[in-house]
Amino acid sequence: MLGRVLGLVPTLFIIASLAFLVARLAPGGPFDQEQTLAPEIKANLEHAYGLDRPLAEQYFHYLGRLAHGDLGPSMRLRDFTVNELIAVGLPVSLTLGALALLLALVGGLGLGLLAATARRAAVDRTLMAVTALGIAIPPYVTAPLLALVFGIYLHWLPVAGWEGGAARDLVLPVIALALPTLAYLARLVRASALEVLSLPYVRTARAKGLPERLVLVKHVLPATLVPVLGYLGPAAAGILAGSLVIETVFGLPGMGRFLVEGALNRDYPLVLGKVLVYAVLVLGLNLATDLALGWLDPRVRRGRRA
Amino acid sequence: MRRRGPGLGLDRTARIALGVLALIAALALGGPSLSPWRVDQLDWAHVGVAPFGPAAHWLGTDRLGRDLFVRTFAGARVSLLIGLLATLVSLLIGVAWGAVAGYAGGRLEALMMRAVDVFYSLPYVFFVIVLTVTFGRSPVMLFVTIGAVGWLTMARVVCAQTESLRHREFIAAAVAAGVPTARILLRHVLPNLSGPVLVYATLTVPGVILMESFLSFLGLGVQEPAASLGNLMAQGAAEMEAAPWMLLVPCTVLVAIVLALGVLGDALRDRMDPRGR
Repeated sequence: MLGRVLGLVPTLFIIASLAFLVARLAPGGPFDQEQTLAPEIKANLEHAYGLDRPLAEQYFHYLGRLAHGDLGPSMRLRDFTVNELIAVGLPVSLTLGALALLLALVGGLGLGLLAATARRAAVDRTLMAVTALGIAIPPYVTAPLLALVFGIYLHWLPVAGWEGGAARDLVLPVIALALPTLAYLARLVRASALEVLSLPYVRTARAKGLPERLVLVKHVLPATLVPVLGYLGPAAAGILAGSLVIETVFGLPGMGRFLVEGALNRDYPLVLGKVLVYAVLVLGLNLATDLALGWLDPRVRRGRRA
Repeated sequence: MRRRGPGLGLDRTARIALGVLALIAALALGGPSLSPWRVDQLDWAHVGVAPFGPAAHWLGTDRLGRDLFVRTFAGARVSLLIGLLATLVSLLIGVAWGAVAGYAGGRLEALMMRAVDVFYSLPYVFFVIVLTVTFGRSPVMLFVTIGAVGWLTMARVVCAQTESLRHREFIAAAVAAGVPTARILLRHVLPNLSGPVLVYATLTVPGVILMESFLSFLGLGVQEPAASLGNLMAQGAAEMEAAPWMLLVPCTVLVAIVLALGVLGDALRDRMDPRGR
């Protein structure tokens, strides 16, 4: 357990180094766009942020700060450190992402089991067609469409905005964000449930007279959870990427805010900091699902690690 | 449920998907020249006209009076082109990486595939963003960047396939005959990989098209006045209150492309490997 967590350190080190290198290979610097800047002032600014020193020295300085959890000052949004900016955005993004993931999980499991156990083939086929559509439509399409229908035409929910995280502001973003993952999970659950349903132990459970509902909940559901958990890491990564666009469309003050502008403005510490936080989130979830898989399926724990 | 039709051994859904794709590809190639309007031509007399409007604006116009039919299919052309080229890039890297790793086996294979695992766990969307911003926002860089991060699945598939080929008799015969390793890879291994590679390439294209439109939506991909499905949708989203067709038209085309390619790829995979993934 501890070993697995420590195993993340080299990966994070690689990510931090790669991101640093890629960002620095870019032509231009954070103080280039301001034409009015006198050369002396620009030189002073660059000196203040250490940009005039050799790249290797900057790199080690950056790593040293990173080891203390300090992501440095933002070069464009003066008066703010990157830590402060992330502290503002992270709770918003986490709320959004966690709710979307929960919705995708619950909805995906429900629809998948429904499709797998549907008596009538038409139900199954309709569900599969709808989920195929759900996978093909990315969140940046569903988000404006949902805002159009429920915000502008029906006036049920606000089109955009964020008033301290009121529930009504969250409904549309969470749905738009969850849909593709929900659709994919539904298909995954259906396929896995169909496989499990044909196994002998399910037949045994039925033969001993267990009600169908109990067979599903106690015997089929846990077995179908294994591939679902395996997909949770990629799903979380997809939801995080999607939240970037969702936050833009709905005007939410999350992590995605300033990321694109920051990259365009060469605000190195801001971009590196945000990429690193996203990386920690994705890697952490991957690790958590790995551990959960081992707990759920003893074969994974004892045998080779997949 | 899956009946085998006569054409190409594909089922009915897959053949419909193929037809939709052919139609969109034909419209993307020839459509813009059917209309009297050009991609960047402004028609101040008909600004923000709804579909089936006057003056041969078949799908309406945007807020600058540009013809939406022409822009959408010119955009589809760009999206399809970037999709194909980026897939080609990821195919080249993925096949080379996977074939070498799978054929070498042992420690080298473990090392190379471990690298793929590490790359998999990276939040690659953010790397694509940083890369596209860093290296300019030209269409060429766009497909190189997307291709460069999209080769991982291909490498895994190819590696597994090569590994199973490595122990076959005809490879052993080639080794025994003293054929150089590079030649074995090119002449004997590669041709036997074409099936799965083709299937996964079909499945990669929609992902790449979605990625391109994602970046263009954020303003990082194809730049105005050139059109791509992504930046058309971004403009449509901004204008959706007054002119919802500006959002709906490019959305429909994008979804049709992605859905058709997905259905086609799944059908091809089912045909190659009935056991599924």
